[in-house]
Amino acid sequence: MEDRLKNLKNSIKKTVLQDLIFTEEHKKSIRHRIQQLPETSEEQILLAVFQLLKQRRTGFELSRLIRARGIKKYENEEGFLYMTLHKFEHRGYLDTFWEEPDVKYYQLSKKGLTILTKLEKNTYGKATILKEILER
Amino acid sequence: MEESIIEDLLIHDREKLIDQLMDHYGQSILQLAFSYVGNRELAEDLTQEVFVKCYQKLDQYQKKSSLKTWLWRIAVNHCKDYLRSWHHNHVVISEERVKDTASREKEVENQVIQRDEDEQLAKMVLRLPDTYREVIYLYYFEELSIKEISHLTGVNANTIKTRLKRAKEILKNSLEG
Repeated sequence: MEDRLKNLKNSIKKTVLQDLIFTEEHKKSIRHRIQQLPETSEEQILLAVFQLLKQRRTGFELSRLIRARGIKKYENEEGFLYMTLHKFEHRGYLDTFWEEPDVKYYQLSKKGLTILTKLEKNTYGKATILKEILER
Repeated sequence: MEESIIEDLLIHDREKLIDQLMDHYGQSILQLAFSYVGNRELAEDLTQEVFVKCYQKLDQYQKKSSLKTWLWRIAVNHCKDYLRSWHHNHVVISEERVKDTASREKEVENQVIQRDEDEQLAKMVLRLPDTYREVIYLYYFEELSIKEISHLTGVNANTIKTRLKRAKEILKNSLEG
């Protein structure tokens, strides 16, 4: 019995799974469905901004990375992103640094990191934190 | 997949990351889904949903396990959720019965044409009750360890051992009977 089961991989491949193939068509259809996904919610955008700013980044870098995550909100509307960053800086979620005369870097502050940890834990109270950050 | 590449794509290009995941694991996820639902179209649908879900959940990936294991957990859970769903238990049943009879007829034919013992075993495995089929498939087909199966399914390792043992008994009895 054990021997036959050891050979199960081949037996199954040769028989029941014989013409079950993951094709280019399947991939295409998945890509299509991903592109059709509804716009990202405010919460997801916020989470993305916080996660990406664990490292020190410029606003330009950040906007590219946000776009790479499939978030289109700030595409060609970078001004809004800077407004958000300004707001977060003001509330103490972000530290900012000037390097070279005119390049500003953003990074999560201790307070910002605490909030990110809470957001990522996905626990009870997440909604309250989000409400606080988004609405005030 | 290489960790450094995953890390890079996770930050820079998630759509490409999903592409790579599909290239590496699409075939095995499709087979896995088939092992759960035993129906080609359904397995294809579930596979699509698994990858879309994976894309949506990438934010929650915490690097506690490999991305592969993480994807597989999503797949296992998604298939099981489907089997537990109202839709499966109420709507699909009649349709599946038809298919089942058809495939049994074909099977009888096949048995006459080629008395292939391996094929017989493969089909028997796919007809096992859900919990037994799952462990046999993951252990013998995917060649995962008990520990890995336990992690994937969230079932205690000892329970998995018992299920494996019981599943083998069932298979043995039906093959000899």
